[in-house]
Amino acid sequence: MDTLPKAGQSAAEVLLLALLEARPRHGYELAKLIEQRSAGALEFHVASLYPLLYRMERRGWIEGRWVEKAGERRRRFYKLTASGRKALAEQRASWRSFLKGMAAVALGGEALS
Amino acid sequence: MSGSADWEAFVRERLRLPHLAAPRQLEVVAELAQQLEQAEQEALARGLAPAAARAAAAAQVTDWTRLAHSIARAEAPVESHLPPRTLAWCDAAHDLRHALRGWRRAPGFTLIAVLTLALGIGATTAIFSWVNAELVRALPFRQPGQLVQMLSTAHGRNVSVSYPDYLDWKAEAARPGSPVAAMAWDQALNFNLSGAGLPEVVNAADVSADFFSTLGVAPRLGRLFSPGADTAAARPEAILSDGLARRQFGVAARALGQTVNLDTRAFSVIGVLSPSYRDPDQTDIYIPAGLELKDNMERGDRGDTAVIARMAPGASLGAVRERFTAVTERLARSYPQTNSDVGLAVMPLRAAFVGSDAPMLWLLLAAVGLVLLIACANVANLMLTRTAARRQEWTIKQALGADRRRLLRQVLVESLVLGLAGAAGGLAVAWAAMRGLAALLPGAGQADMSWPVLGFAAAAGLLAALVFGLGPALMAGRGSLHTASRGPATQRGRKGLVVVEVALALMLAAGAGLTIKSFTRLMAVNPGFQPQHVLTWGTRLAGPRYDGRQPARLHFEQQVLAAIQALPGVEAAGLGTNLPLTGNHSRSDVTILGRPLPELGKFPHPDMHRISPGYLAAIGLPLLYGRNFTEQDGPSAPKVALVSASFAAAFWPKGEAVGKQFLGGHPAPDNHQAYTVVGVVGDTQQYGLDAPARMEVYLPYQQGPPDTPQFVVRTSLPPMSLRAAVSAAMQAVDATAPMVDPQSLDQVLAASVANPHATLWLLGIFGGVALLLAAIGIYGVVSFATQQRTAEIGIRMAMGAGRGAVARLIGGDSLRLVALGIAMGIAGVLAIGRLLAASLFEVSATDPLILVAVSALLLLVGALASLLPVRRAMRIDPLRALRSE
Repeated sequence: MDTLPKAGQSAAEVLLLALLEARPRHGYELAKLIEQRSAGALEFHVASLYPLLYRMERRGWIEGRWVEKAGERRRRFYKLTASGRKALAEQRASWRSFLKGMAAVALGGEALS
Repeated sequence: MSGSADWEAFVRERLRLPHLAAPRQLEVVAELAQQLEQAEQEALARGLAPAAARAAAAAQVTDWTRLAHSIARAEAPVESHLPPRTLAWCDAAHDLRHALRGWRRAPGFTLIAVLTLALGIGATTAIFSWVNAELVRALPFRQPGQLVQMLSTAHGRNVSVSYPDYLDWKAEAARPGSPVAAMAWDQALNFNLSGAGLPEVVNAADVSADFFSTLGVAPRLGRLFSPGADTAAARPEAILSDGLARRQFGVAARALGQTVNLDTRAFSVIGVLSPSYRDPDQTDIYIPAGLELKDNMERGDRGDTAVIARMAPGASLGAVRERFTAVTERLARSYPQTNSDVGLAVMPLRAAFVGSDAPMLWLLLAAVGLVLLIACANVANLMLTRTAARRQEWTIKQALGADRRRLLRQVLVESLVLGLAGAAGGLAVAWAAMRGLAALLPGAGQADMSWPVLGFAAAAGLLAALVFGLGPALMAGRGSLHTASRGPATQRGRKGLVVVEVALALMLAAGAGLTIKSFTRLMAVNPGFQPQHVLTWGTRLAGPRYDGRQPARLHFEQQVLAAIQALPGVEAAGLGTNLPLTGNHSRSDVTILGRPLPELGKFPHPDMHRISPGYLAAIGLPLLYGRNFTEQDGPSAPKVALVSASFAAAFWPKGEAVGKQFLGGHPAPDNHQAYTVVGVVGDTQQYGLDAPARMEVYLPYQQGPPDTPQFVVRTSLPPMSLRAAVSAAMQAVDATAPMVDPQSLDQVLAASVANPHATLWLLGIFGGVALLLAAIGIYGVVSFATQQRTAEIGIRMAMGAGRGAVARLIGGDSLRLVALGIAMGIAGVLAIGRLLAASLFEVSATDPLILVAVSALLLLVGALASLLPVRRAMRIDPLRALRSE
């Protein structure tokens, strides 16, 4: 995988980090976003999404928190931590060229620009 | 409608997270329940019925075990708490499911791949089953590797062992330090068996008491011979093969204690061997050696015997050879009259079981292995096409974090599934092919679906999977968006495969071509007689009526011949002893009178025949000069002989053979067997169309009628239609005389070339399949390349290139591949020519004509396979091609 910036860091992680950069989101929303924006090309299964979120949480890149809003269900929202922001920034540089191609194929060309 | 509590219960039931702390478990369960519930809500909002919505949500997670493992791993980033093996199995199961799903999604591809593999594996397995039966399968004896066969030699040829020699060998074997632990005697005999079921001529053997214990064989029923069986006081007991016991008594067990007659002696059945027992002579009944002692006491007499020995543990063939060569030399000094030029041959017992088939079998296995390789190349090609198509899937998977080894493994698992499916189909093909083989060549009938054969098919499937899966797997590993999915590497791989396919196909086609040419040459050989319209069969005259009584034999034969000659359609009828091309023979030294005496061992050693006056006309053997035998050459008439052209040319080259004399055997005071040559007949291919003619001597039947005459009848009718009438004629003269093995002389001839004939067919079939597979491979690659170059071709056409130029571009590319393959194939033929040479007759393994012909054929096949893609390229519309880019 010589085209990827760092071993062990998958595009999916960056994808999630980037989606969380704007604002905290919960797991269901993340899955939906990826699926919609990639026009179905990327199916992010529950089975891969949550383990990935947990792993990133372990690393301290994101932080999950249960939020209960009035009239809504209790949900676990993930937000980017400072170290997650740093990780995202670090990777962005090396990912940029790759992500352009990636965006064209996987994310409908709109996100992460 | 379900609430979040329901979903939590749903998740809790399925997701086992024993390694997580309880609060964390609750959190995970709650979050996943939340996810599923939301999915359900959304489905309801889309208008799904409640049950369907719930099902859709539940379907978001299909493999809870896997999810639990993934979470466990994510929660413990340093190391998983789960034993790695559990995870590995879990992954493997996942890969397997994935593979099966993948193949279901591409049924056309899967079908073609599996069929191709089934064909390749099936054909290889069928040939292997045969090789296994003949060359590999362990002999049905205890520690067969220790067993050797010991024979005497005379003038460099293997000959039988005389009983007194055997006794001396055996005494040596019993001495301390002998490399031989046990030694046994086995002499082949023939008898008319009667007294139970239908009378038949059986292959019998008189054996020493320790014959079966030396082999390490126990009877299935009853017992073996007791030690007294080696003495003249042996009781008339017999041990039957399973086959004979069943033929004669219906059920093997019923044979025990029964009595059977061999010729005129009664034997009681004391044992029956197991069905798996076999011996090279296909012996059906064993009797004690002691009963035949009186016939075996001459040191110079050699029947049809073999000495079987079991080497002591650790002893080598060389040690046995050395020790017993010394014995042989001692015997030669002690008995110069009989043993002066007698040597020793020691060989593994297996050698006695392997006929002359071995080179042919290895050749066929090699050939069919090439077919399997071509099949693999084709499937690899298909896989590469699919790889290209799936490149995007893999790229995305990698981007999403699938690691490279996983992907590699997934492709390999897919290949394995395909390979095993191919092996399963291959077994079906092999089963059918083995039946076909048995029809083509009766000797192959021993092949069966044994464990080694099943294992071979499975191994072939796995190996094939590895061969055709490796390329695509490696490419999957390298995959990324930056590697152009249809990049030069893939194309190079596919082109390489086509080159290899063409090369292998050329080798097979060359093999087939050479065999055809060789067979044509073989069939063009003049056998020396005219085999068409001739019926032949044998009989065996036994019992007190005929024993040693020549007039009785003569009477029987003359009566039968007279009856046959009276049958409608019979043109000539005669009697002989050893028909050409059957392998039957008897030879003897002769002394040419009036010439200097040769030294011992250099005497002429022609084949000896006994023939009646009608024999020459019946078999179609020409009398070159002199006269034929007549009824006047009777028992009391002067001894006369006919000799073959080779014989006459060797001693009387100027055509003056008639009137000359020779002596049967060596000169001795009591040898009065001088024969006068009365005529010279043509040579025959006594030992096969591909064997040189030998010197042959024919003596009058009436002057020494044998007990196993062979009838030869020339007829204007289809030969086999005469069978019933002939049988009736024999029965009318003597109802006890069996009609043995009636067949047309054409059949005898066909049987003598059965091996080359089968090789011809099989190599022909393999060559044809190889050409077909190569054509499919070429077609696949050229049409894929054409598709890839649509835009390029469009531009070229837009720039003014004509259709001819396009055809040359695409066709030229493909023919270059074919030409490269042809060059490699010819190199291959030159390299393995020696393997082929053993099976060829009067054709060089590098016959230029054949090589040129098959090269042209391959070019033609290549051109035909490229035709469709080239035509498609010529019809490309430049505008549309460019727009699609």
